[in-house]
Amino acid sequence: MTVTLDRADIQGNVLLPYGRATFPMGHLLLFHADRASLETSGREGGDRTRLLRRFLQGLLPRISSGRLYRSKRTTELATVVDEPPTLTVNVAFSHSGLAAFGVPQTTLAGFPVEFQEGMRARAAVLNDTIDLWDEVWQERGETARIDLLILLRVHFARALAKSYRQQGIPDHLHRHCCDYHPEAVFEGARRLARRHLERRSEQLIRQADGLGLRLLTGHARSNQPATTERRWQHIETLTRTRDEDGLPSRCDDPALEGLGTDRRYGEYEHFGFLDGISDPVFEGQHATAQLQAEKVIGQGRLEQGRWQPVAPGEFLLGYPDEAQEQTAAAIPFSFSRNGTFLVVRKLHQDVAAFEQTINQHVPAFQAWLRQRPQQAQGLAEQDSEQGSEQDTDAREARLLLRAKLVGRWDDGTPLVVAPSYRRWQAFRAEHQRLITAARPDRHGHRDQAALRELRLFRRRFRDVRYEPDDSDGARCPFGSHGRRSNPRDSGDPRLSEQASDRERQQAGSVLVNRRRILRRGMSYGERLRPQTDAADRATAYVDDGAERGTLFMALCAGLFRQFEFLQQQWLNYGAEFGGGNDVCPISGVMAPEDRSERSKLIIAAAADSARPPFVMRPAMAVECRGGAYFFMPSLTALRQIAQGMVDPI
Amino acid sequence: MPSSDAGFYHLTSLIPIHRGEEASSLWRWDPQSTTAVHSLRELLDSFRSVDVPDLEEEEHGRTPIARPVPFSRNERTHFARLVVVEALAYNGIKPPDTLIGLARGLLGSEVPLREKADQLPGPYLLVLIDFDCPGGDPRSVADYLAELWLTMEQEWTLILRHCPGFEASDPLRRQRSYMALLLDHEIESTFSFASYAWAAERARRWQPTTGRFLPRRSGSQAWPLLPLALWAVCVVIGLVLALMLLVRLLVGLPLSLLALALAAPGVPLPSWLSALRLEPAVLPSLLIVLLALGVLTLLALPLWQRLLRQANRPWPAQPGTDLRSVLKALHLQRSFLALAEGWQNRPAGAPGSLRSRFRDVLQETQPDNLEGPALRPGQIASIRRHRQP
Repeated sequence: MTVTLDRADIQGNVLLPYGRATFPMGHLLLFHADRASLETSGREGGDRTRLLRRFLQGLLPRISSGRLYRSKRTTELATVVDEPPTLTVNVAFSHSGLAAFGVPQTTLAGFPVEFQEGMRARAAVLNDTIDLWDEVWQERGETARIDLLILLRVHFARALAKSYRQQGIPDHLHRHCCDYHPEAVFEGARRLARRHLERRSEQLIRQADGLGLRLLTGHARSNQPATTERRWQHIETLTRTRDEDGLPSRCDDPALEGLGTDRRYGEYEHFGFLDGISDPVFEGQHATAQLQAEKVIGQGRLEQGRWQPVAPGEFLLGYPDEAQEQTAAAIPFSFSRNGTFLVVRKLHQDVAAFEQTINQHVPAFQAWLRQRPQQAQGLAEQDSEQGSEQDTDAREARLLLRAKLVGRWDDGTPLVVAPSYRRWQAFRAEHQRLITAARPDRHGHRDQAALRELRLFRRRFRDVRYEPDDSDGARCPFGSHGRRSNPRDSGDPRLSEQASDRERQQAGSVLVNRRRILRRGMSYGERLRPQTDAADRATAYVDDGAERGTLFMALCAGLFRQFEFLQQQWLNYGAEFGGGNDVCPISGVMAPEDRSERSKLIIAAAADSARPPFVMRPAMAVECRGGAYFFMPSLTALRQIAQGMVDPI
Repeated sequence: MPSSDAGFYHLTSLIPIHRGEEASSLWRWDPQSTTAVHSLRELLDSFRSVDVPDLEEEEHGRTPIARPVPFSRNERTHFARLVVVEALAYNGIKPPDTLIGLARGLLGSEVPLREKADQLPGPYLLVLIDFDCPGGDPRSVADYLAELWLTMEQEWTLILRHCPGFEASDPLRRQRSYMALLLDHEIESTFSFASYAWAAERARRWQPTTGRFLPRRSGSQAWPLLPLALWAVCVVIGLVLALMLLVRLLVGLPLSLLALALAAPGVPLPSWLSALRLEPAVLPSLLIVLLALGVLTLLALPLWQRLLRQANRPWPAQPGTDLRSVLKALHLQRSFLALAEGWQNRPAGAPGSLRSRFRDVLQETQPDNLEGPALRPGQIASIRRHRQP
């Protein structure tokens, strides 16, 4: 019998992420439980704790759970589900925060050491430089310690409907048939959502302030313009226009037509890659068995050539994990159960540096692609294709180089599936053809066969396996971001060097099963757009010094085993992938003593082509600007904290 | 009946709770709908929180909010605990037997890497109630439940709405399905929480004049130890004898057949074979002895059953252990302690003798009168809470 999770007991955004287009905007608020008055007299301590608990009690009914609400995912569900909340509220505590709320010492001591210490103290493990961090994350002094995190996300559809009304445009056409909205309407809705969010944040801050929780400020660099909001971290999904998505303004279906400037919230991050395609799927995660069976492909664990859901104990405390034991957790059981750990990292992205470095490498990369293999015999498929791409123009080379960095093309197509530009284009064309075929006709009728075919095709985005087709890393470099952070079946320790293709097809993900994390990141900052009047691409991107990047958020049951291992061993170090001290070209952080030397990315040619690999020196364009570890309790545990009833005996 | 002992009945019921999102009809604290398990937890917490003494509050000299727990409205309930059981404790993979593992390894079949973890088919509500039931008659459980319903109808309705099988439509059905849920899902238990019968028994043996205890009266409950021991020895000897004979038979019979087979062609028998085989003449007598032992064992069976019945017989109720007496006793304890403390700290030259103070206490507390002053049911604290004015 599989695990049935009590969705109402687990905080929202844990089991499934809040949709990036549904809840595209949010605030991250950090609070300090003010203990200044606590030290003056012994009796104040009790009063303080009681005030804090009262704040939590007031917040409890508003905290969003993992219950399903009406959305695209739940249309197939037979049971009635509620409308999504207008604003989601989620809370997480740091170790000192739990202590401030009066959680007993026995429980506090049961937490793993890495959580007790916090991310700041673990800088040596993660290669972080605290001086680069934003003021708020630096936690300088006892009075600046981060105790409580509150994450708000606002529902966008209601703001959009209101904006349509304000603009006097009948919205039924746009809202139901198409993701894109006229620019004026879209901007109006963004303003409305933002105002709503700000109002609610201010309200929350006021309430907290009266009950002993002081807001911590200093979320951006002090050199930012004075208008920059530094009281909270604003997060927002990046937008895309029809033009950027390459959609024609006119097409056969009038419902799908629109202006090139029409906008939507997209899936792309600042560097321009489609983000968040693959996220672990674990037992009990999806609402129906059918959905679970579909989603597990490419996202679960791979065993004997089949995808299976990961054990729930990898992401939730109180369940069996991949080692078939209970992950160690604080007592009492009811306090830890259904809780999880949250990693927050503010990752600044220097888009200009990233683009410039790519462009600097393009000529050499083009030349490398043109090199004829020295051996005419036994050409690998990829090489023969790359060899034929003599007329590869700079654009194609640039896109391929970008893909080599992350392991996927800009639109998320895996390199393993489409190793060359031509095959990528063929893949895209096929995808587009299937989308068109599966589109509902005038009567709203959908061709079920085409729909099924589309669903099968879309599996190829997720069902990435490196064995046996890419055992040598000629398609997707071992050092690329995707292959480092989730090596899947690559490097299965049970495979011998002489393993046959048949054996390799049975390769499993045993190396990775205990290192998975649920990614819940969001972008922040406006997109850096290229200057249109620049002479060439190399000079088109100029850094404007603004704040932009990804607010990386990850959930796991073991911070040390999952997140820290991933960051330290796989992203900040390359030995596992034969890359020595090389760090991940996207999210790696170099040790301070190594920073005099630039990291490299080795892009391999096929093993039998006798061609030297291409050596790239990627820009270290991502910089960690802060972070912390939090515990995200279940609603039961929150109630226990709020009522002062955590009983570890 | 193991669920009953020393005048108490410990009712243990394991009632299934609605699964998943079927909870739209539930009574809720807040309008957000939720799962039955979660809502039930909240509800039970709200019952509990009203009477757990807040130590912090107490230290600051503030009186805690004293709203009695709903069970305290009943004067027979010693202890009640309601727990949501959602999952089985998982202790990790069972270590495989080393020998079996070795054998499997030699045979080339690996031990399966992944073991299925047991899951409950759904969540359960565990109800544990200890109450006074002097006769120990299981039928009186229904009487108690009916009595409890009179004082806790509202709470039980709120609780049991989370369980399939509860019919909330009209009062009669509510009560009937409440009784049915608790009784049909009852499981036998041998664990009692209200176990102060031993203390009452000991108190009765105490001699106030000497401060000594009388020896425990064995009375009619004494076991006939000597006959029992003799009987046990006989049974053991008989069993050992039977086992030896059986082994002899099992070894001897095939060898006898072998000897017969060999004897036919006229092969000389080896000496060990002729020693071990059974003479055909012995065979019937052996069988008769075995049969006799078997019959003896069968005859001993009723005695064995009687032994079990005796062991399962509940301890008789001890006077003074019912809830009202206990509450009265705690009140007396508190009053006498206050008397002693007051006498010890009396100011020099204060009027009155110890005797007069004692008389006052007796008058005030009325030790023999159960209807007189006593602790309220549900008032957990006894001596610790008491403070001098």
